[in-house]
Amino acid sequence: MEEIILKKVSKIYRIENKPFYALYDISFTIKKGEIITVLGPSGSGKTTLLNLISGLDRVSSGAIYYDNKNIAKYSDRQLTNHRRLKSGFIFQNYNLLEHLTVKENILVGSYVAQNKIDVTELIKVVDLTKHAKKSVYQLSGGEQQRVSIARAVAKNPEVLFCDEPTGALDEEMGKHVLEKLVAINKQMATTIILVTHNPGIAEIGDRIIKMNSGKIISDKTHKRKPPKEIEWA
Amino acid sequence: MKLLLLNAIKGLWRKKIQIIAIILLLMIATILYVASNNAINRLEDGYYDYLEKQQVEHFSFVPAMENLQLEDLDLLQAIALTEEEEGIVQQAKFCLPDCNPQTMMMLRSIFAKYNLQVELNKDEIDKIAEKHGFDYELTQSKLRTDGTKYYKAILYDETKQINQPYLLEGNLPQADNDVAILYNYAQANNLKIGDQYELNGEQYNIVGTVFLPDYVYPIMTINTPMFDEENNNIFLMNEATYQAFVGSENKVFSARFHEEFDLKHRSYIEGPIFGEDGIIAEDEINMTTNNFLRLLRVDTIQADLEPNRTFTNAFVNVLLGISAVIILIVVKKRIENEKSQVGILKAVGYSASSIASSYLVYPFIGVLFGCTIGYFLGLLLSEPLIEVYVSYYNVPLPGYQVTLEYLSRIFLFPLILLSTVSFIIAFLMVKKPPLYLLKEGSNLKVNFFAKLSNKILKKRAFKTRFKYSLAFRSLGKLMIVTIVSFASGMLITLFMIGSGLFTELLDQTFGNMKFDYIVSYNTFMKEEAEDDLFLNLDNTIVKIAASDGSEIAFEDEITVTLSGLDAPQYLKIEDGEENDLIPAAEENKVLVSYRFAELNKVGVDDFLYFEINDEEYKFIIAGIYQDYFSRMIFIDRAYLSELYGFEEPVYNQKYSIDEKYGDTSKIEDEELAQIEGIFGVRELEKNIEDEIEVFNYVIYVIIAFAALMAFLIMLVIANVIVEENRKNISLMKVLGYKNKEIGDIILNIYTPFIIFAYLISIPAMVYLIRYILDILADDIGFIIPVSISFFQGFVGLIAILIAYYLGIGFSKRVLNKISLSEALKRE
Repeated sequence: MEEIILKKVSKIYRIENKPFYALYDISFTIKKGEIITVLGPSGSGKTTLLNLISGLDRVSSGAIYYDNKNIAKYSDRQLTNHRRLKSGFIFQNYNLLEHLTVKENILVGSYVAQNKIDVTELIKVVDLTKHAKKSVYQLSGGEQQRVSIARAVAKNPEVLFCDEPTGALDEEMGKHVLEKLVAINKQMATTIILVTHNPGIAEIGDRIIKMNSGKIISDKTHKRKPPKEIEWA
Repeated sequence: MKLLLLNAIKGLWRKKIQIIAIILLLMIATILYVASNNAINRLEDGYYDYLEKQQVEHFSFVPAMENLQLEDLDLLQAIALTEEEEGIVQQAKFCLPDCNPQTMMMLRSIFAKYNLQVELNKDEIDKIAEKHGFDYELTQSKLRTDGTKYYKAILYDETKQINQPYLLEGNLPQADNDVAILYNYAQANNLKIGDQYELNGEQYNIVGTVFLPDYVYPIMTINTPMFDEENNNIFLMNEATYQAFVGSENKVFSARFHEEFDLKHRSYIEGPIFGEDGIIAEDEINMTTNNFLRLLRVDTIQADLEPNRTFTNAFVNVLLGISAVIILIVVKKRIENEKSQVGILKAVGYSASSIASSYLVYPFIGVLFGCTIGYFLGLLLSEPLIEVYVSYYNVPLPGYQVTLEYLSRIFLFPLILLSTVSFIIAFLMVKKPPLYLLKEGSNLKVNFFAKLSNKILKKRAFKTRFKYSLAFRSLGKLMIVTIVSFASGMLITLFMIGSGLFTELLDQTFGNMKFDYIVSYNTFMKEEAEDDLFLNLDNTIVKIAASDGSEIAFEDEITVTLSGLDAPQYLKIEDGEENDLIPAAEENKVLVSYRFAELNKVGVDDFLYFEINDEEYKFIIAGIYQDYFSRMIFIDRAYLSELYGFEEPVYNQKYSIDEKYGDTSKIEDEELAQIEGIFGVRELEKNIEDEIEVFNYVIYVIIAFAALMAFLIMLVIANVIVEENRKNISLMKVLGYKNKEIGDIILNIYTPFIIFAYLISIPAMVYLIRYILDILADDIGFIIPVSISFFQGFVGLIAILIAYYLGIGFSKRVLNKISLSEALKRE
């Protein structure tokens, strides 16, 4: 994938028969290898934007092009396939399979990958080697989030979608997780789109898109800050 | 895929109660199916094989005496007739073959009395046999009883081809006083080859034990419908020994078709042999009550096995249906709990079908363990089951065999059914968009009914409102609990009604009988006796008319018994309000049974027309007596005798309390010679009571099963309720609620629905049975009352509630173990 282009993307919900614009006329381009942080308060539409770009949700109007292919017109099956091949996800609440071990959870992601990454290496990358055979519910929040990252990366995705990945973590663990994400971006040239309400976290990105009330307020390039140096709000 | 399966298996293992319930249900269903079908199939195969090898009769008959000829009277020359009989024979010499119906009737009774039917018209019978392609042989037997024990002597002839005895031990009788006896009788009375057996002063040598193919179920007489292996015996003996044996004799022809004959589809009286469409016309040969009994002896087992199989298989299907329901609940609940995990899998790129397929582990494990264990246990259980059947029926025990016959049925069918159900449910749930699945949603959505219940119960305490709101929030579970209670209630009601039905029939039939014996005569008796006397003559109704004279149409021929009576002292004939109807039966006024009235849609003051001695007579229905079976139409005996041309009132049956009729050795020889049969009412009543007692045990088993089913369902549902309310339960504990209070709120939510469902199941089942019996009334020929007592209904309710509270009780232990930290966990 070279770039993702959004053209006049809107998402409308009907609440008590009245249209509500969660997103209104969003257009921008994402280049390969970028780390883009989407910053905004609760209800600004940032998560909705993430869900649309990743293929988890469908636009109400507009287009989203992945290398000239408009995923807004994809069928359910095509979208599933698209997510399988292109997308990795990291959520605030980890969403691990609680009956499986650390390694097995990562294998869940690896299984669907076309170009698999060595899972053992990946476990090393996220510093979970000594926990590999443990059940995930035995881990701390930060450790679980690292499993989630490893699972997402095990797919060798083109784009990693992160929805408040540090929302449930303290500063130290949160920065540790962010470091892993940045490292992955550097090593694998994986495009990262990260949603946050924390202005400090937003500074790890190459671009900061600010949103409010479903619209983009600003879209500025930025010099990345290492996660260690960010201010944790 | 492997990982998805692994995830599903590990999840399953953590919810052991649920999977164990599924395995148990499938195991019970499989045990029932395999045990019952294996036993029945082996017994059936052995039975038909045995019948063919022993050349069992296809039917038995006596020649019709429709065409008595003058030369037939020669057979009576060697008989010492009574004076009256002599008179009839003399009369017949002048009018045969065209005597009046009364004379013909009396002449036939003389031939029947002296067992001369079989001597009549041998050439004619040979012609009939050739025409219809059957062989026949004479079967002779004599019956003797002391009231408790019944002994039947059968003449053994080694040249016989039909009904060949099956020798188990020893030899068949050759010498005088050598006997072979029934194997079951020998076992029950500890008799062996070489023992001496005394009967009525005679010593017999037991030389062998046998089964007889025409006595598979050896009913001795019509009034002892249950085979008593301790007190009912058959002796095979040679000619000399047989001739010396004292007892009332019966002679019939046993016949077998040359062509292959399907024993499975022989009906008792009508059907392929006799009747309008039968092979053999009614005026060629006919059957008597004894022949009906003979067929029963061979065919009763069929009437037993097939319904048993049908019932068991239906019950198995019910259990399978319930297993499907439980799996449905479990799979649905699993997916609901793992919703967000499923969502992430879909986000990652797993297809809905692959995710749904992983949940097939539930039916697979259930079938693998439940059906496998059930299969082997079922095979084991089939052995004692066969022995139970064989103890009733005198057939050789079929050899042991392990069969693979059921494998497809017990594995494939449930696997396909349960897998399909699971997959459909799982697929429908997981095919939702990943975002929907990922949303942190509450399982406790508030729907219309929950809101309504909140509104209705607004003024009640919080606990009550919360409880019923919780019940209505999950309509699926509520429906399942209600349906299961309803189904269990219907099952229990069905069998309670069955029990009550037999007791009611027993009371109805025997309650009004103050006599102990029905004595039937083979001739018309004139000497008056102290007992209740009846003149019973079969006749066919030619016309029915309403009280206004309009004709009432009827389709099939209605044959009834006109029963002439006086003022019986031992028999009550009452209407539904217990009014005595006997005084109403005078001259041409008749009394009909409730059964007759219902089946033919007649009432009091309607008319019945009969043809007697070529003249049409009109009778008025003066009353309807309370009886569900009877074909008797009661009429004044003197009037009936006159209609049939008798100079004075006669009788051919009496109801007596004289104990001498319980022991034929106490009856004078002259009377004994005139007696066609003696029916012991008390004995029959006792037999039926014993049968009902057995049936009552069956009812308890059925109730136990229904309660077990209800228990398993309640267990799973209660378990599921606790699971989906873990956070609520934990929060309540944090707030300070006690376990008992929490259990009361969370678990005791279905009690009123269960009671309600059970209570409506009772009238539903009563209505359904009445509807079915109304349809069947014409075919079975009698009306069956349907009722259930308050006590029975109460017992059923207790059974269901016990099952419910036991299920909840198990789940309370899980509830008590939920920790306070559950409330603090993020979803």
